[in-house]
Amino acid sequence: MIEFKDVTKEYDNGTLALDEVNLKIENGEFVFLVGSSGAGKTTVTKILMREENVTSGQVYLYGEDITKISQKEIPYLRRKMGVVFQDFRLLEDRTVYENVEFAMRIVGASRREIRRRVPVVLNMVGLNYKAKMLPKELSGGEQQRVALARALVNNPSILIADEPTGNLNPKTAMEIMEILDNINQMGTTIIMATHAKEIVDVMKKRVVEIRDGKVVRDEVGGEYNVQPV
Amino acid sequence: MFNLSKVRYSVSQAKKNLIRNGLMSIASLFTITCCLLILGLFTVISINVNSYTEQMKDQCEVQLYMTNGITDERITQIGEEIVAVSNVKAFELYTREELYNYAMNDVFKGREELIGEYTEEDNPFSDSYKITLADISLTEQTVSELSKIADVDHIENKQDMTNIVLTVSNVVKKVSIVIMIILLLVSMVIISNTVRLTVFNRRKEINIMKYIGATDAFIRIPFVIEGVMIGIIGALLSFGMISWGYIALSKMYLNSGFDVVELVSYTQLAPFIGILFVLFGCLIGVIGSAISMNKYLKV
Ligand SMILES: Nc1ncnc2c1ncn2[C@@H]1O[C@H](COP(=O)(O)OP(=O)(O)O)[C@@H](O)[C@H]1O
Ligand SMILES: [Mg+2]
Repeated sequence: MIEFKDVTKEYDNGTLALDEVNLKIENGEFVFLVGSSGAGKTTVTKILMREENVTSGQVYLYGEDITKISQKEIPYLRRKMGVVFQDFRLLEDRTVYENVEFAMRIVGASRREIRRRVPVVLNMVGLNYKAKMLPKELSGGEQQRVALARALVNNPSILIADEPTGNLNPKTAMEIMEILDNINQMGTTIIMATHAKEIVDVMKKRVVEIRDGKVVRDEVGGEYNVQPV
Repeated sequence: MFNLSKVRYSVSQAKKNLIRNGLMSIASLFTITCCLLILGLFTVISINVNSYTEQMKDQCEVQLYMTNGITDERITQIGEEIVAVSNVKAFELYTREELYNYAMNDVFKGREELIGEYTEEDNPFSDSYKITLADISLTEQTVSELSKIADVDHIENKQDMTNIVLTVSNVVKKVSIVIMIILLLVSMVIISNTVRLTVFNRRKEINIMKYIGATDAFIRIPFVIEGVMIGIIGALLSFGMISWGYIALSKMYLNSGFDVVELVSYTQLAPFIGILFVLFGCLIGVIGSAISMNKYLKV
């Protein structure tokens, strides 16, 4: 369970990115964070990963206030989460397999675990047969699926996706959404920041709208419905 | 916490980084090797000068000449007075008769005409004591005390020579230390630059590692290993060259016929220099990479 309690985030330059945000997300939920560009969606994800510190307020993850954990504990916090970005962030000089394997090595998995687990996740995203290819030989959708496999390979309980379909055409975007939905069905909590109207409308998930750093709407089975500022 | 698979990963990452950095790695390896070579040169010289000074100290003697015509009892007495002076380690009597006989029967045998018309009664030599001092640096003081003894004609000492040797060895030591420090700093800057380049080249990878939950240590250790590898390879290379050079040069020196000063043997020197080099290599590697990580690797 994730809970933001009166979270305010002011960046060093004085920008107020989040203003007293309160938000509760249960295990296994699928939540869209919507809002126009600059609303504060990415800041929410960064605070969850402790890439940014809150200015005030608390953020509970499974009952623990993660704004209080020490620098040393941050890597272990991040291992509970998988993350994907709009720009995929793959290592260009490594194959699909190696990109996914990389994530397991970092957490100290044994060779045997790696050999067993990597094909399983590649299969989950439908890229088994392209394991030996380099990212540049893949389409955008396929690259994002590699990023997804990398995010999932260490079995995180939460998946954070920041505009994962932003660089993809609508059809490819829907393929990614199908995978996300499958992962969600298997119990992973999914938090996805997006301003892809069609996707949000079609998926009928919980929608949390942020505007100027405030939560202005929170509805289950909602639609995109963001008013341009 | 740091299991085998992580260690293997760190080492292989460091090796990859070294190779990917290619030219830069070779350039820094070359410079480190040169630095350590110069360092080794100074260490070798330092050690030899030191050993020579030690030898000199052991041979630190003054010759005390007594006035002619004093009795044998007085001569023995003077011996006792010499022992009473501090800093005297040993003394040995040379009588005029002894010296005369030595000159006549050994040195100038068959060429007596060379030393003129001397007879045993008209002996040109004086009775003297050879005095060995305990501490070379107190020579002046001891000599002045010795000269206060009655019936002492004069004292000869090698003070000037000893002073020169002491001064030279001090200068060599100081210069060596200054040069060592400079070279240490230069080497660290070079390694730190190489590692900085790696950090820059790998910044995307480092960023991804952070998102995935790599610990600080896990991210940093390959860079430390990279620095240490450069340091140790440089140390081994320069150690090899110094060894080869020292063995070759000391052979030449021994065969030259001018081998007045005894050199420290290579077998005595090697362990010291070897350990020193590897330690230096590790140290500059660790510190060099630490510097650039603290500056460029905000984890
Ligand atoms: N590192 C930063 N420093 C200063 N201001 C920032 C920083 N990151 C984001 N902002 C500002 O905070 C606000 C919210 O940004 P962000 O969370 O990225 O919005 P979104 O993801 O919804 O587009 C914006 O006004 C943005 O300019
Ligand atoms: Mg954003």
